[in-house]
Amino acid sequence: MVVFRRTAPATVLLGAVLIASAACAGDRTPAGSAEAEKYPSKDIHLIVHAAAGGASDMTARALATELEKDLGRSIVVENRPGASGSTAMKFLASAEPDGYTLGYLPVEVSMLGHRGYEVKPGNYTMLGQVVNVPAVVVVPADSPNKSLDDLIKAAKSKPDEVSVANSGPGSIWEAATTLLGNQAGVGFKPVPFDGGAPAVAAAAGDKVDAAVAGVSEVAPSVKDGRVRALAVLDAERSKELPDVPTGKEEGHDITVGGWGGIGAPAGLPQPVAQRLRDAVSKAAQAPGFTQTLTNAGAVPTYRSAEEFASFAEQEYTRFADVLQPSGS
Amino acid sequence: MKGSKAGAVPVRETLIASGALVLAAAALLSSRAIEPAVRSHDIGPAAWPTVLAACMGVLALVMLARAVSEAARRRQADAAGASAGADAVEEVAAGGPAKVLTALAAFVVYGAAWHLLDFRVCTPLLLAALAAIGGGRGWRPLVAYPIGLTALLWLLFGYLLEVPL
Amino acid sequence: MNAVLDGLGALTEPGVIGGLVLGTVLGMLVGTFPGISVTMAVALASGFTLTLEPVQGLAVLLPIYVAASFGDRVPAILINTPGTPASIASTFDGFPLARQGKAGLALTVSAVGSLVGGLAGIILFIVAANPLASVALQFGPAEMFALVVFGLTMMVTVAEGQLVKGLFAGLAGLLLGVVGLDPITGDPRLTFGVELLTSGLPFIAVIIGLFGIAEVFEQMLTHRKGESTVITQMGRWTPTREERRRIRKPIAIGSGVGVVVGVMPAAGGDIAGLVSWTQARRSSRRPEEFGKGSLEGLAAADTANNAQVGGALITSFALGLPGDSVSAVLLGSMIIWGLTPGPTLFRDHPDLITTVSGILLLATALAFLLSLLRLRGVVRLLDLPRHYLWSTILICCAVGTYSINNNPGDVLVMLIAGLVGLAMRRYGFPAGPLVLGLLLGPLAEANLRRTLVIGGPGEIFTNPIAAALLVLSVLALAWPLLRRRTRASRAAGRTPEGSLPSPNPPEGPPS
Repeated sequence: MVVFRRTAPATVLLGAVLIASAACAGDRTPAGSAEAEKYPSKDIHLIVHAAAGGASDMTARALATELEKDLGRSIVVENRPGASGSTAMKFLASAEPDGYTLGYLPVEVSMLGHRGYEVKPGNYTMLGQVVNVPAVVVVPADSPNKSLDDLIKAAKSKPDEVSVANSGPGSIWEAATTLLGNQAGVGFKPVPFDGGAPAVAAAAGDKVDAAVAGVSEVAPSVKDGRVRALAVLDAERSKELPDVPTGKEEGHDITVGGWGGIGAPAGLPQPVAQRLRDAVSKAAQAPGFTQTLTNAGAVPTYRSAEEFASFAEQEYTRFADVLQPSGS
Repeated sequence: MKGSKAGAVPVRETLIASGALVLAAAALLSSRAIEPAVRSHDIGPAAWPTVLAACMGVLALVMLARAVSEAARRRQADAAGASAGADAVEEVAAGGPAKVLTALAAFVVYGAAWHLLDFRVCTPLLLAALAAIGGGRGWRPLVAYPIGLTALLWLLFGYLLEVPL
Repeated sequence: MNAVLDGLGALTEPGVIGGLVLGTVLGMLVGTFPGISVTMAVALASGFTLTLEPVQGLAVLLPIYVAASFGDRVPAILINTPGTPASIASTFDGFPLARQGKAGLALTVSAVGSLVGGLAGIILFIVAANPLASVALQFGPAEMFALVVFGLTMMVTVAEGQLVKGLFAGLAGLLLGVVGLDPITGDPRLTFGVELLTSGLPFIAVIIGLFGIAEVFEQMLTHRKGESTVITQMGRWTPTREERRRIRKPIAIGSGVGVVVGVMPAAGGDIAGLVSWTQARRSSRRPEEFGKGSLEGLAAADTANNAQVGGALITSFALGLPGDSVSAVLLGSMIIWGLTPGPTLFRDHPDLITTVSGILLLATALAFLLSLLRLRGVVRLLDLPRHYLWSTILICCAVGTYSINNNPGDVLVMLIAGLVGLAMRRYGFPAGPLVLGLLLGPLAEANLRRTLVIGGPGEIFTNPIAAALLVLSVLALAWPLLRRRTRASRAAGRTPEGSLPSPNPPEGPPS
């Protein structure tokens, strides 16, 4: 450190901040509680497919906080974005199945395989679903389409002309648009945007006939009256938007959501898997976690490991029809 | 002497323009090769890059034409006012290219070693190598500095920002 | 009036003050360190602040954002590496100034510009957030496309002097922006089977390579023993009366451009700095100095970079739409705190708006003071012998780039971009237009094609805002060419070389 004496002021400042913040960071890590089992004996890494700051990252970090309480070890969230999320998915699949590398599994786990990436639900040991963000169909505030049925009738009279904004090519909300069209026997004209929020903004600015996005992305604009929500594509009404009917109530029984869960590489040893399943189950239903998600407009949804595994496979089959290969 | 220097600039420029033309041609070929898997309601994925690559080609031809005509003009009349342009570039020092190449090689070796060894082991080695390339000698630049800076980086990124190093 | 008092009262809490100081210092450091993005810093900090009260949390997060745009100009000026993408344009004149031995002056001027810009943004945030936000909402794909085309006309200005090579570099940048998945169909383009490239070229890795790494390589290539090419002296710090007078206009331009760009969704500080630099050059009496160490250019770039912050916050708070990626993270935090951004926020929480304005003002003032204080330490830093400086810059850029996506491939991209940047320098291609192309290309294409999907080609020309912007773009292209032509022919008339006697044609078609 001799060298740094020459740069005294800047270094001292930097050093002081580092030490101060390091001390804060240290407080977060619970001291190793007296676990009878050996696992976990060191920090656990949680791989996230999205950049820090997004909805998936927020969910993963909130869950990590709860998991830390139960497992008594620090959980380090690792963001490995890239290649539509497949970078992280592949990283997780090829990691050692020892319980020290876990991953947040988004709905893309059941989608990317159909777009040419080597990603499928079977590559992972599922540990439980924790969240679901239902799709919502919205229209501009002064749209002539007053109900989901109006919109579908409009699409029927003008096939492939009704423009529906979504969050990007190959994204869950584009797939939701296609699924809705297939179910009702009509064709929409999907307009991909760079994310759900810009898609909703396009509807608010009356640039498109409708938009499909997650409830958390549409809720602020719906509450302000800048867009009108026609239907929530979920089994039940959303707590966030209690006045908006479900697709089923409107005569179109379809549910699509951006779900997410926790998984590990395939081949996780049984005792470790059991320990983690219990931990995920507890964390996913902890008030701290559910409250954070509810505030953000998402729906905390717990499915057990077995249910989640078969659900992910079902979704994988369902998406086969609506996604075309595009990966390399 | 002045004549030879003035003549070197257009030759150099001709080579640069030819290189640009090769780049543009490669870009055009790659753009044409884009095949849409999905039908689309608009101009399709290949149109935009193809137009861009074609424009690059046109500009490269302009560059080439200028460099060639400049060379011819200079050969005819030993133009007095050698215009500035590439003259602003500083001259390469002896051993300069070797330094850049060794630094790059050090990074490649570092990248390979990093998969096997811990960040805290390979980084001081890389830093010592880079310091040596820069002309550092003695224990301070080759031992104290690499270890100190690695410690600082690890504290900032590895510990504080929780980056998996 | 009560709302104002309540809002200001919240600022006196020790927790809030402490958070503010911590956030400001952290933000300065994050900004100064190339590679640590502000988005990442705010995202990580929000992990800690979620458990705090909203006001306390905002008192940490907002100052990081504000102070980072004070810190990022320091490496831009001293080592030609933008601390964040927002200070790309600061390298154009900042680094040449430093090489002329005027680093101290450059730092002071850019700090003053940042202060004025920051204040302009905040003032606009206080008075005009609501009405401005509704204008931004009118910007759909067609308008965005036209706006981006207008932005692309800047290439001509940024490339001036080397027009053909500059445009070639700009087109290359636009083409590099194509790399990745098609914005409409999702087809991979120009990825050559490399899966890492399907998410596009990592922008920050590319700019760190093009500017910072290329600069180090250039020095390695040309450095001779005993000779000093790096800045070893800072020169004087305070601008003269004449210099102060000259930077007034660019600072005014920067403030205006910065807030306008900031208000636009999806356009951040990088674009603000570039647009402002270009506009200042267009209206300057000494445009030829730009890019070679113009105080005006530096002041314009840094002012806009900071004014942008206030503008982006307007869109975020009043509309619930993120103006850039940092505000996207801020929005996420606010939603979790139960504060729904949008017009209702101003109605339901007027005191919060006052508090936020107060936090922004205090953070700006503190960051400004810090940037004046820290200056003395920087001198010593640059005294470091070459081998320390080179290896420190290289490793910091490498680790910083890696940490963005935790992907070693990004570091490889950075090194390749460094080599490309070195080649471009040596062969006379300016890097500015390439960055502009890479930045705006994806926006231009995606919005054009969205417009085509929605309504066909007619959509662009029948849309009043879009059509007006396109006309402006044509004018912006034609005007400098026209003016230069007139000037060149005037000059040609005077010099003996002039082969064609063309006595001042007042107007002439641009070629």
